[in-house]
Formats: sequence, C-alpha cells, structure tokens
Amino acid sequence: MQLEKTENSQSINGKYLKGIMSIFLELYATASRGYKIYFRYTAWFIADLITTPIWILVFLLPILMFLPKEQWNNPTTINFFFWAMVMWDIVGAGLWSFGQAIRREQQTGTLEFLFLTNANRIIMFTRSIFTRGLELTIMFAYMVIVFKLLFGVDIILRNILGVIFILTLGLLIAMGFGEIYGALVLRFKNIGPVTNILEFVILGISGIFFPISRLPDQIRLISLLSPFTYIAEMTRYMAMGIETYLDPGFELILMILMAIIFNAIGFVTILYIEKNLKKTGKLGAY
Amino acid sequence: MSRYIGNWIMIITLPYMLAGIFLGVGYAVGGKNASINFYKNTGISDPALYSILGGAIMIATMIILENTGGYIREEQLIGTFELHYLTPNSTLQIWFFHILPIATIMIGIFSITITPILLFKGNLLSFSEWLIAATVIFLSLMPLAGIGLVIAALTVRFKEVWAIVNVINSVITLLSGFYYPLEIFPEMVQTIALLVPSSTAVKILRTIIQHRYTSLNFGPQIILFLVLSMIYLSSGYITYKRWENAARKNGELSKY
Repeated sequence: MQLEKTENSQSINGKYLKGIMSIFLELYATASRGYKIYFRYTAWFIADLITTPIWILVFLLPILMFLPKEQWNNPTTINFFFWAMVMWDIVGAGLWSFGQAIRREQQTGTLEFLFLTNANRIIMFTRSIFTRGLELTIMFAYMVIVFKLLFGVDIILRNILGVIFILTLGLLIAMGFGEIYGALVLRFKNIGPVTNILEFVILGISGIFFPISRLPDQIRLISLLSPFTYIAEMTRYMAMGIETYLDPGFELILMILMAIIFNAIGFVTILYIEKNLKKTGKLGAY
Repeated sequence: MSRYIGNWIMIITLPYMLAGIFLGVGYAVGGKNASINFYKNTGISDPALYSILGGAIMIATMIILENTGGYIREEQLIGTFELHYLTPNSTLQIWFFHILPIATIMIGIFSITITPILLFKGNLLSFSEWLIAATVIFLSLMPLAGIGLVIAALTVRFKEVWAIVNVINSVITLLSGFYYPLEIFPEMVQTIALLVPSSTAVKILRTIIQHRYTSLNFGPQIILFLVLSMIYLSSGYITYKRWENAARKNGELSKY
C-alpha cells in the first residue's frame, strides 16, 4: 500500500517535472527561432539604428513647438520624452507581438500546421517578445547616446535595477495584453488598422508622455483602467523619482497581479477561440 | 483596395489621432502659454488645423512611398510575384500603374480628411481652391512615385522592403516639415529639403487652406515638381530595370 502510494506520487512528480521540462524546451525552441529570424533580417536592425534619431526628432519637434525655445533642452522635459519613447516600445510590444505573429502565420499559410502540434499556444507565438526584449535593451543604450547628442541632456537613471524590474514586468503585462489581442486576430483575421488606432488611444490615455495628474478628471478615470498607465508611472518613479498617482507599492502590486491575470485570460481566450474556429472550420480562413 | 475598408478608415483618422497626441502632449507640457509658444515658434495661431493638414499630407506621402515595394513584397510572400513574369506585360508598368490610382485616391482621402476640421472651423474650400489643392497633391506625389519605384527595385534586390521604406520614410518625414516649420533647421538642411517634394507641397497647401491665397504665383513650385518628377521617375525606371535584369540573370527573382 505504502509502496503503491510512493509510486503514484513519483509518477505525478515525474509528469509534473516532464511538463515543466517541456515548457522550458518550447520556450527555448521559440526563443531560438525568434532570434534566428531576427538576425536573418539584419537590414531591419541597421534601419532601426539609422532611423531612431530621425524618428525621435520627428515626434519630439511638434511637441517642442508648444514650449519656449529656451526650454527645448530642459532636462526634465527631455527625460520625460525619453521614457515616453521607451514606453511606446512596450505598448507596441503588447499590441503587435502576438497579433502580428499570428497574422504572419495566417498569411504564409503555416498557421494550421502549427495548430496541428501539441505545443503550448502562448509560447508558440511569443517569439517577438524575446526579440523585443533584446531590441529594447540595445535601443535603450543607443537612445541614451542619441538624446545626449541631439539635446545635450543626460538621461536620469536613479534606480537601474528597479527600472529593469519594472520594464521586465511591463513586457510581461504587454505580453498578456498581446495574447488577448492575438486571440482577436485569430478570430477576426486582419485587424491591423484597429491596432494602429488602439495604439494611439493607449498612448493618449495612459500618461505615456506626461503624468496622468495633468489629465482632466474624467479622462484620468479611464487612464487608471489602462495597464500601461502603471508601467509608465512606475518607470518614471524608478528612473526619475517622479511621484506616482497612487501609492507606488500599490501600483507595483497591481502590476504583478495584472501580469498574472492578463496572461491567464489570454491563454484561456486563445484556447477557446481555437476550439471554436476548429468547430466552424474557420481556422484556416483568412 | 476596396476590400480593405478598415485601412481607409485608419488612413482618414490617423491625422486626427496624431494631431491629438501632439496637441494633447503639447498643451500638457506647455501649460497656459502653450498657444502663445506655438505661435511664436511657427507663426501659426491654429495648431489643430496646422497639425491635421500636415498629418494628411504625411499619410499620403507615406502610402505612395510604401505601396509599390509593399505590393511587391506581398506578392513575394504569397508566392505570386514570379507569375507576373510569365505574362507578356511590362512589370515596370504594372508597378507604376499600381501607384497612379492610389495617387488619385489620395486626393479623395485628403479631401475627406480635412473636410471635418474645415467644416468645424466654418471654412470649407471653394471648388477652385480645392482644384488647385488637388493638382498640387497630384504633382507632388509624382516624384514620390519615382522614389517608390526605387524602393520597388530595392525590394526585388534585397527583399527587406520595410527596412528600406523605414529609412526613406524617416528622412522624407523629417525634411518635409509636416508638423513644424523647416525654418527651425540650419539653412543647409532647408536647401536639402527642397529636394523632397512634400516639403514644397506642405507649404503650398498651408498657404491655400490657411490663408486662402490662391492668387499666388505657384509657377516656380510647379516647375520644381516637374523637374523632381523627371529626376525621380527616371531614376526609378533605371534602377528598377537594372536590378530586375540582374535578379533575372542570377535567378534571384523568386528567392525570398
């Protein structure tokens, strides 16, 4: 009896371990596939290096028009812009990563083959999160130099470990958000235009470029519902010491909860939509 | 094109969204003196109209630049690109005549985009003003079609269309002054900006729409458009032909 119990427990532990191992294996396969694709298209990387300073100017000059010329090099203003550009990348990661990966597989006709495998549906489409993480790190360092050269301003980085932690957590939240969004791509196919519109709405309401305390009361209420608001607030808090709208500890707990909840909802939604599409025979339709 | 209605809605609304971001952030950081600062820096008292107008021209410019290369890339991805080479048609003509209807549609899109803001300001364009504006848009898009052909050639050669488009788009956007006056740059940069047709188009269209000044002699600018069209279209033709031939010889047409 005792022996049987031990054998059962070992079998459960074995299955559990096997499950964890297979998740790591899938993560490794997805990451290596993502990096292989990323490094295959080196033109993208070179183009990003060339265009980053140009796009920074294109987006910042219209805003600087609202400031007197003597404030165009104001360190606080420029630092706000710097972190806004980083945040923009995080928002983009959320909206484009999963949806774009699914759409690309749809277009190239390989989506159905992927769904024939037993691979984890979330891990399968996470490849751009890995490359985004790498890209964000490289671009971060590059933008620090670009901002120094363009505006003569040093980027304030009070708590580097805190910033890394918040940005990683931010990427996880963006990933969960992207999973929910990717499920919609799976269901409705081409929602590229909606992505663009949504991206601007999120940028507008999430206090990416300025603290939400400057927003009108009604809009501030909406911005408190956006997960990206807390990523932006906590990043500025860690980097520049700017006060958060709510208690920083509370915002941090909210971020951790959102990372867990969004990923769980995203996973369940993708599975549910996949099941439905398989029943209706629309999985391969695009 | 009529299949992708969502794209058109996005194209029409994008100038408003971009203007919303710039104005929202601008007023938030500029505070109560934001309008005065904007006037001092640009000489314009209506930032909303200024930004929406700039955004509408920017979108038209980007679409013309991206479309040919993007179209070729899409054909490559779905495996139908080589099939065009089995027909007796000139591929160069196929790609070029793909741009022309889009350039025409852009005039319509531009009109639809700016009408709400002009209606809101109670300042709609007269037919003659619209006609001049439409002609300016069409003429300014022709040199861009030439650049589009160069991008098409680069797509055939390097496959990586979006990386190429990103570089060209960023430079053209920076030098066009869609959202700021080019006078903030040094004179040398302003001179280089003359080679970008959209920089001249922005100036003319702002003059027509904001100041209703159609009696101005736009002759020199029209000549500039024609000269730029000749230069860029012939460059596009030569580049495309050359790289298409090279790709045929090396067997790289269907390699992507």
